[in-house]
Amino acid sequence: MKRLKQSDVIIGVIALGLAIFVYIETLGFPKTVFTLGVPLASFFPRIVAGALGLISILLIISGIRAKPEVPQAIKWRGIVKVVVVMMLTAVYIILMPGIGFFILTPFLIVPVALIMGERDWKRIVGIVFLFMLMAYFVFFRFFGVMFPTRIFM
Amino acid sequence: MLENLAMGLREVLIPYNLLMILAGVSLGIVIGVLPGLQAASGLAILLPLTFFMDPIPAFLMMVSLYMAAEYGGSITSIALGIPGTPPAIPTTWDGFPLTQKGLARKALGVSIISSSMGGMIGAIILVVAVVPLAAFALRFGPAEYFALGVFGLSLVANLAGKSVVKALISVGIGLLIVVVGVDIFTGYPRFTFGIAELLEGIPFVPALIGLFAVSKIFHYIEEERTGIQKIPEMGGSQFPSLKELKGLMVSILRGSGIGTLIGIIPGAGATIASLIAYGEEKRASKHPEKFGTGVLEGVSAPESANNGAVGGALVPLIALGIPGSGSTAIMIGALMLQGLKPGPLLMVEQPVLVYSILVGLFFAAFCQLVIGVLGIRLWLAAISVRTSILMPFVLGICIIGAYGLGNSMFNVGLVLVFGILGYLMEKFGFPLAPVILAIVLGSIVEANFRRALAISGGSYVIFFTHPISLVLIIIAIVTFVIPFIRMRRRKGVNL
Repeated sequence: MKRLKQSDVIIGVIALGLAIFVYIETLGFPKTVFTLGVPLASFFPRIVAGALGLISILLIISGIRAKPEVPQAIKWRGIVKVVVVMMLTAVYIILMPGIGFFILTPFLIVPVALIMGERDWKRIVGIVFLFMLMAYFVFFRFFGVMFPTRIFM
Repeated sequence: MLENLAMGLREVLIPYNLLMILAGVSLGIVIGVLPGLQAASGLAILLPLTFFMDPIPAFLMMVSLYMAAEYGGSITSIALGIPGTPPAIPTTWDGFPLTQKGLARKALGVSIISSSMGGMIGAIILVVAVVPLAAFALRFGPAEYFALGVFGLSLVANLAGKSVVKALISVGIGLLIVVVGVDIFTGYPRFTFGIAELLEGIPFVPALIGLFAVSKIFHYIEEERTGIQKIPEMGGSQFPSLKELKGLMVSILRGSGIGTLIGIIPGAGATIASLIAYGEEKRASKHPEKFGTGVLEGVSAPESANNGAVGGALVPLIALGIPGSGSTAIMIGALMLQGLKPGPLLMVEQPVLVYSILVGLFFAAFCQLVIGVLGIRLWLAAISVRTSILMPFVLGICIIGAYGLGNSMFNVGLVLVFGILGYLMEKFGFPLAPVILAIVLGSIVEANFRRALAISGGSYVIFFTHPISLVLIIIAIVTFVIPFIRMRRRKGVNL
């Protein structure tokens, strides 16, 4: 019977690729010794890359030899929700310097609440209001965090 | 010494000074709860205010805030599974599972009692042994720091969970994160790919927020947990009983001792103290396999350690004028603002101030205990909020916390990247604890390894001729190997 844990093999290959990439990058590091006896800038990354490479091979081998598992049902709906929130957050990060924190943040909190299944608009408005109050009085005024307020400039 | 202690006690009992302790503890707990904020952030804000205060109330407030912030991080660790501060990371591993079992009140009770006892024990050790402990701290050179870092990394074997290979890959990922940035010896930018913000390396706090907080939010979203966290109240879910607390005393004493000792070492800090205390508690336990599933010792050990480290960090500050941590570095700034000179003569020239701080630490721990116990209901109410409301709120806090570190959107971007990494790692069974262990210790290991070799002219013998270094390396080897031996004896272990 074929024994294979696909995810471990794939991740092992990715980790091995990362280790090889790191090692190759270190080939371009300077080889000049500034202080006698002190390892070069490439020393530690190469040790880590070497160790990671070896361990990745172990993972690939253990993945190939693993006992077959009953495949678990994938919750695609949940995964799609996660990906959407990740993308929303990425867009938020890109737009924030241009639009400003106090205007844009509700447009992140509300969709995330909706994606998580909240449908009571009073609660949603309440949490946005509470969050913005806290952000203003605690972080902006008390801690002095200078949020981007671009659109007002 | 008794006379000085009496003077210190007299000062601390002045109502205004007691009020400053209360204010410091309250503010410290709030700061600890908010992800992205730490004791150093709160102290940095207080620093200019101390200019307008007398030295004694100013320092009482600062040490109280410092101690309480280390405790505050455990509240969200236990209630939400999201560490509020780096030292509270190990508390999450057993604290949150306890909440999921319906034992949130007990976990929070153990946390506050352990933290407060750790703080009190640290204060007592500080009073009794500040001078000899400072001498011990001075013996730590690069070889010793390297060995300490290696010992810390050896704990990965205890934190591996089901798959040791995956835990080691997690360590590798953490160590690769650490090498990003300008090399401190040669000035060469490593793995920055032309991104200016990476020249200083990947900052620790956004990585922590992403890996532990944002990834958890993603898991909540994926599992479509939208409603109130209905946690069944099981039998024994009340505040920990005297019998349970008695059973935890060894763990608390061990954690406090480890925390104080590690805290004394400049640069080591409460995070390393709590990680090592957790690892040692698991190693010493008769049932190490239960750690991570919700055992009280998994909360008491790191919590007593992270508050014990506060007393430890004050040792080099008071005895030598050297900061033991980022927070004590800010306190040195406060000393200078007050026109006082930090250094070995501080105890001689300002005995009232010094002994007020020492006694005040003890009172701060007690005040923390009272506020923490009274606040348990508040924290329990917080976890009853619908997750569909709570998680967007927490996501917003994480963003603010990351942005606030230098007013940088780059840090917010890092939070998202590490959030995705943490989510994927947990999805495929890779533990996150070793990543944090590697990030915290990796830079200590590399930098001090190279410094030690610079001193010895390239000879590796230096690590074995320094007694403290040798002992720590031997303990590290034993710590790393023993769990493997135990695992091989048990059946069904996945390598």
